Amino acid sequence: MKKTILSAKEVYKSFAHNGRQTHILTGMNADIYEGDLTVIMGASGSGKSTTLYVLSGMDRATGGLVLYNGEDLAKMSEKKLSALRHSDFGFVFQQMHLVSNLSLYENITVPGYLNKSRSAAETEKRAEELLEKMGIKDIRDHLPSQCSGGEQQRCAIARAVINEPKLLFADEPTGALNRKNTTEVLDLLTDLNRGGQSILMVTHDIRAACRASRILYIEDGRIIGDLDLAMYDEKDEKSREAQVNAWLTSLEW
Amino acid sequence: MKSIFRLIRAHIRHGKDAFFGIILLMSLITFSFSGTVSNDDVLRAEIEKNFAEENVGDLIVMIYEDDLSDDMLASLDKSSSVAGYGVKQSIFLRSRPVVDGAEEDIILSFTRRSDDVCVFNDSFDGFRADNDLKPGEIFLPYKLKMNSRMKEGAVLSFRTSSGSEERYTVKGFYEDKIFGATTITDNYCVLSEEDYDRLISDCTDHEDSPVLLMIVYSEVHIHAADGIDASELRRDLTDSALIKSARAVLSRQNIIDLFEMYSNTGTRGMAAFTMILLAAILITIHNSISAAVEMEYTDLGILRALGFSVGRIRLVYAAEYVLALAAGSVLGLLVSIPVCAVLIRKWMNLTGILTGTDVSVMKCAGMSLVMILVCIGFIFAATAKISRISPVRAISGGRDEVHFDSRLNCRIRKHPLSLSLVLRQLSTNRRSYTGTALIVAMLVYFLVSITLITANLDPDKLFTTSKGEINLLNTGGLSIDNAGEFEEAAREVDSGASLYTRSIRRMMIDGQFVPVHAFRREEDKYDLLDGRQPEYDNELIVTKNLAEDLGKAIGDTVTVSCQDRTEEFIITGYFQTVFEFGLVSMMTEEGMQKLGCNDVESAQLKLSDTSKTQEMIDMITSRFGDSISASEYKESGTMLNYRKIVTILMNSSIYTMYTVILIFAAVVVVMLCRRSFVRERTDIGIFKALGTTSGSLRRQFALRFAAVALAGSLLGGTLSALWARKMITFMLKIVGLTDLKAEISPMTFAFPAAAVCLCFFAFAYAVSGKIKSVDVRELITE
Repeated sequence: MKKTILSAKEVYKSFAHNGRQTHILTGMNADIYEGDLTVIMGASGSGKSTTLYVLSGMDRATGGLVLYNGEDLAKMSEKKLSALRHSDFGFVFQQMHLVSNLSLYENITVPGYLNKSRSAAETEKRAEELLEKMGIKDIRDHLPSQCSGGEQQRCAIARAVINEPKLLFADEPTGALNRKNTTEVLDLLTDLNRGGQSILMVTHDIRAACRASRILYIEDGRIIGDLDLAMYDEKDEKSREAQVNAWLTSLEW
Repeated sequence: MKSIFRLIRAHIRHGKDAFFGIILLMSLITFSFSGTVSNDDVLRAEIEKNFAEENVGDLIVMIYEDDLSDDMLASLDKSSSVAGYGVKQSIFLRSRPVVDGAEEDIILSFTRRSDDVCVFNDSFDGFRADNDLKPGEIFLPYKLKMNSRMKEGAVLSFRTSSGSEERYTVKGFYEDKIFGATTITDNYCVLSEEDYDRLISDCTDHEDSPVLLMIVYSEVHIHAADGIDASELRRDLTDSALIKSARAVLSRQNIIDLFEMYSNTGTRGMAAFTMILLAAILITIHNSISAAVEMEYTDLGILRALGFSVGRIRLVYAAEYVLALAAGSVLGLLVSIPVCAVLIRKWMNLTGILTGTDVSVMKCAGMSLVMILVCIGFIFAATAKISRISPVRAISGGRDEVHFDSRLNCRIRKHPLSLSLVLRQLSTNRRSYTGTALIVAMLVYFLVSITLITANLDPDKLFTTSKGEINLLNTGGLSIDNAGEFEEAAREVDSGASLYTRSIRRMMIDGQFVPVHAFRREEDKYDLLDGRQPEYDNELIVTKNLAEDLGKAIGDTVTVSCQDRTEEFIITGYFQTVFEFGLVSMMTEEGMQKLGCNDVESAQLKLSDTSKTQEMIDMITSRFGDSISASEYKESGTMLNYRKIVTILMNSSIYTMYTVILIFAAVVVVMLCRRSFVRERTDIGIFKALGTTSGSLRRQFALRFAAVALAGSLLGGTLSALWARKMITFMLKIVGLTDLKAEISPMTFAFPAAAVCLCFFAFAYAVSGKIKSVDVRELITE
């Protein structure tokens, strides 16, 4: 029996634009389990990115509950949500979004320093380990503008996991990368997952989805498909891809 | 061309904050200098008009009428330097007048009414049609209106030389076109012809009286021949009997300077202020353009790829800022029109003359134009970097060559994380923040300077008048010779009584007519700036201004003449005073006596036992009453009011300067913060996503600008410690102050610095409120 780490119950999210209400999430229900690499897929405008913001507490649901450790994220104060972001959650963006005037090493350590439960020395030690693990140790003092997209995204992943979050959110982490860099980043995420890191990733890339242990398919603001997969093994890549493709086709993707 | 206009419009729309910020800054500058320039212009125009009407000479010789001989006037006729002359008569009152029963410590002179006397209406913004004066009525100069007792209907009385009492009812206040400035201590009052002639007869009939309560003066207005200026005229007439017998010799310019003393100081201050603000505007424009080029780097590359030449792009920037500068100038001028009408009228309290209130629009517009031209040159220099933008590089996102100009090795630390992030922000945008720090430095420098000026022009220190409890009116009974005897008599009543006297006599020092002071007591003597006090009868000290004029220094010898005596004196030191614009000398009483001067100008008696005041007054009245009158010292109402007005003017000037500077600082910081906010919006979102709260980011944002302000303040404080004295000395030299006397304490620097830093922090914090509106979702690409 898997342990639920995050739970969405009848979640609604609407936006008002020019006096018109647009309903993005329409009573979405989902449970995210510990240790999974959960992927959210769906067509453009289906609400997958909105799901990610709402589940990560970056946006507040219009209705329903998003429960983390039994506590509704919508009811948390700005301060508590901020604390949650640098202690329990990590976030990887499609456009990397590294702080432009900080070196790669500093980009990784800053969220570590924000975490009061960890000393500066511990943060720096872990940052060194992550630099090594992400393969960017040699360019640790480079500014983001001096690095390739893949290097920046690896740094962004290291930054997201510096505080050993309970759940890592990744929004199209390979969306802005070429094929080689995509593979590198997916390998890193898979490695992290193998090490026990729970990951919730939004993507529309089947190759990325194939790394998942579970895929949720979203349409019109609701989860309409839930596929459980075995732990990723590159030997099974082709068969997994076929399985995922067939499943997606059945959902008219 | 159409495309350029469209680009300019788009640019303005995109950079509204910078555009309106520059408008506001320029309007502040224009408003500041247009007030000063207009005030100077209307004042000078009015003085010139008045002097022409009154036929004021290039040289005005004040001489006792008895001393003025036909031969003296005939010598003027013969002089090739003299084009002509005119003589005016007045009566100088040596006793103190009584107003509505209370004695007033003011100096009065009387002139005969003329048909063109301009009497103020009730609201003091124009003149009455009726300027008739009946016997028993008197018109007072406007400056006496400052004395609360001097009002229309008040009764003014005084004793004449014959001992009779004259009583006059104040009928109004008139514009004294020559001696109306409050900086001139004489108050010329207008009497009817009948009253004036009667007083003249009184003087003539009692000219041999031992008690001289009234003296008839002649003002000889000498006009220089063509091609001769006032100083040449004075030099040519130095050895004439007229000058040697004169009580005072003033040039036309001396009187103009007295009218313009405060406005000239203000103008010098405003010139420095305008230069500082202009420099601040240039730095702001540079910062703004640099930030715009950085943020619009890709757009600029696209424009260049589309065929826009560098020149055209620079033209767009120049046009945007010129438009803002021009709009700011127009706005500043428009605002100054109604404000100047009020402010210029306030100067009437110091000048005593009614001036127009028109703003010198053309002159100010010309000055604005010059400033705009300077700015245009600067804008073209600041936009030079556009030529270095490669279209290909810009479009492909390579912006490192303009993005960060430097990186200092300040480490990011856990404690204090905010501060280290602030320092990193500062060091990575060093050029931009250096410019801001320079602006702060200039503002702090100016604030420190005006604080020092105000401290040096403290009216309470400048206009101290009395040392004693009893004021002595000397009507011929007290001289340098017999002061010791008088003091001995006073000590019979109070053994600790001390007599303080001051003698003033205008003497010719190396051809220059200057007032020479001598004091009985050491503590009365002027404080030395350098050298030592005169001890012997052949020594004197001079002000630095006078030493400069004479071309002499400590240790040099000067020739001093008074009446028919001439002696050599050695300069032993320098001092400073605001009297006579600092063109003053001081010698020992023995020195004065050697030159035949024995008169005491003013005297006070200081008691060791103040309960004996009345007893002392009674003793003086009974023993010396014929030639010395004693009264308990009361500060003159006029002096009190004068001090009050100067204090109000000084305070309002400093508050206005502080306000303008703080508004300026606020506009600059708001402009910079908004630019920074736009530039760092993504970084703010990232920090939020990493778990930093809005409150912490706001504090960090505001702290950064406060840190810049602090750095600028330190620089400004250092600069003012090094150079403020020199600048202030230049500004105050005009009023006779050549060295700063005010104590410079850490607070002198700390207060202005704190004001600017607080302003920066507060406005940066206010602008950082926008941080709350930054949503982490902005980082997420749909």
